[in-house]
Amino acid sequence: MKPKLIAVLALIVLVPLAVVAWLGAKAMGDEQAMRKLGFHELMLGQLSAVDAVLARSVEAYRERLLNEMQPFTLDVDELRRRTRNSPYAVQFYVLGPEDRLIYPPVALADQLTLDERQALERTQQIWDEGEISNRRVDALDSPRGSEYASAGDARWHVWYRDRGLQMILWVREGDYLYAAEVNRTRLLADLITALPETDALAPELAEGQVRLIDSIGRPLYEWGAAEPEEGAEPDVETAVGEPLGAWRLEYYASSSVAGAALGSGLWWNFSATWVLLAMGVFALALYFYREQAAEMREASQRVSFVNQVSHELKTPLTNIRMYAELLEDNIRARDAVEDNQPLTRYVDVIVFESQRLSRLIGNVLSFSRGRRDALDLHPKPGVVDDVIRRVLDQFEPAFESKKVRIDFSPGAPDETSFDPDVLEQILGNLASNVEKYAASGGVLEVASRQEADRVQITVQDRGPGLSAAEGRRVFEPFYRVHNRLTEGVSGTGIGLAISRELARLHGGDLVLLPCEVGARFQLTMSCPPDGKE
Amino acid sequence: MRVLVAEDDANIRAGLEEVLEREGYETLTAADGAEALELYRRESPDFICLDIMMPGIDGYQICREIRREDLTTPIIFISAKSEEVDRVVGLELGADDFILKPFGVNEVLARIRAVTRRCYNQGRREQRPEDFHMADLDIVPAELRAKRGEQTIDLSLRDTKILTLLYRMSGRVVDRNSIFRECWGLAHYANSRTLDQHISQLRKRIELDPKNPQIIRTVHGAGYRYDGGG
Repeated sequence: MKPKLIAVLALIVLVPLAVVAWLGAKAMGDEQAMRKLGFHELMLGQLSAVDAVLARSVEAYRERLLNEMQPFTLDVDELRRRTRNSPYAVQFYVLGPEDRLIYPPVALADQLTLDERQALERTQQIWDEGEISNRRVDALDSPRGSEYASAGDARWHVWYRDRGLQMILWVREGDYLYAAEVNRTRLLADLITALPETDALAPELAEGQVRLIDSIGRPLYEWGAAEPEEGAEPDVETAVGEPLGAWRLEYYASSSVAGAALGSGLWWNFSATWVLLAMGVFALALYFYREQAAEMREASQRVSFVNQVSHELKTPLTNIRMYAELLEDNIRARDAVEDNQPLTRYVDVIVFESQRLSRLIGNVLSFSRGRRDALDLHPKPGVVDDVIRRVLDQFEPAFESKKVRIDFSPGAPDETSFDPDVLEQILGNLASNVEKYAASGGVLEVASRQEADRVQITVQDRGPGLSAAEGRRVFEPFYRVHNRLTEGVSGTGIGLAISRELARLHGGDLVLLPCEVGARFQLTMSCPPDGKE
Repeated sequence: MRVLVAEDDANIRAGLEEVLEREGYETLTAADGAEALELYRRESPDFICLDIMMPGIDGYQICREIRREDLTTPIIFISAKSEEVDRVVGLELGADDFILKPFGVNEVLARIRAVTRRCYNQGRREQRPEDFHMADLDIVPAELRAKRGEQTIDLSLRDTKILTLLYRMSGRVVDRNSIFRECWGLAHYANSRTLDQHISQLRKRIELDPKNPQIIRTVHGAGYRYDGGG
């Protein structure tokens, strides 16, 4: 019983916990994916804000550069002066009609300064190939190729050289094209100066680390509170808007922010909840187990108490029964000479009731042994019909007083091996039932039959009988037929249950056979010829 | 045939004593284990009825002691202990049967008769009494039975003693005192009423017509007689 109870409780505890864990893990996975997406979106939004700051800086730079280019002039000296003095441009360029380079004055090659020569080296290909001058302005509004529209007529031209992004701002004025090559150092300084203001726009970013990466993957600038591990992958990255499109912004979340955002807390919460739930369910299971165990202990104590009491009853009962029987014999012996009718009747009652009490105690003890799987057989040689006669003799006075005729057809006269106590107990229970419930039928028919190693005994009465439903339940322990006849009739309700158990123990069975009038029980027992069981 | 009854409950002891004596056995009684062992050694009874729970030496211990010196004398345990283990212990110690309390007189008789038959048929073959015929009855004293054709009649030890005595004295009158002496024993107080009642009960079982007995005839004023033949 106990292992079964533990298995059931374990099932009740573990299955719901497993289901909750599984559903929870699934929900957590989904939630985490959602949060990751949300976090990504949020950080992307904040990086876009940074990008917007960069874009404004670039725009401001463009304004300044444009200012330095104006008023437009073709005067070489003036252009040289501007180039020398400009913090924003490293070199100005002017192209004349037919896109000839007017400044720096390539026609007067010997008059070119060192800076101008170097600048031409950097840009020669652009002028030779007409990369800027061949573009039609109206086509430049779309961000195609390497030219980008911007406010006003000034446009950016971007190219790569010396492992880095190079930029030229250019504007067409009449037949002339004026251009300024960006001072990269100054531009970067401007951008970096502008970046800290992003802290206000995107406070979450400040908790992590943001890096501005150039076109060859070199960090140009990094800011923020966190220090990501070497080789860590960025949590979010985005390209910087044009014209700095080759650059990108990378965001490394701080472990605490990433953890919180990506739901490590969520896992902790879920785990804690699950553990609490598990503890609760376990506590409940433990409570039920203890309750159940206590109940079982109590029940077994009760059985043991009944057992003990039954044992204690045996000695006084033995005396009552034995002396009543001796008295009965004595009185019967004198019957011939004197009229002892009333005495005989009194003694009959005492004898019969002590026998009934013996049967009751026998049933209670058998039942408690049956619960403990301790029922056993003690076959010995004997004659079945003799035992039947002995039992019927016991009942004779009781049946006589209730006007029940006993009709015994003996058919098992050969000596076999069987347990006479078991047979006596079963027949006693059947006869007692007839006496209690079916005396109105007026007859008890008992017939025995012996064949090979089986004995069959039928006990039939002509009483009220049993309905089909009652018949099905009549062998259940503690079942008593609750009809008018049992009201006021004593009984424990274990007689037939015990009888069937004993019959089965004896290799046979006790069954209720269908019959038209009364109840008909059939007992079969395996009784091998003497000494073979 | 002598039976030792060891039982600490005085009433049960006295009741068993009466049942056994009525059946024709001589009884020795002991109220505790030590007394039982002493009586066993002194009197060498034919079989022993032993209660298990007794003060001093318990029934198991007595059984063990007896079996150490004697493997044949039948021992019947009488006990309220009905647990499987108690029976197993008892039977393993060499007991022959187990009577459970509460028992009825008839059950005790049936078991004691079974043990008596075993005494006659197994352990003490030289003591086995011979079969004989009385009228249409076959008497088998060793089985405590009489047979008339297919019918079997159970007899008590005393019944067989009475029938044996009458058979031995076929044709002659056996007076009441002789019957008492032979079948009840010297210790028994001769009571003609007891004898008459017993003969009357016996006739009911063995005579075809008890009112007109053919086997045990009354010789008024003298005693009983079996006329022989059969």
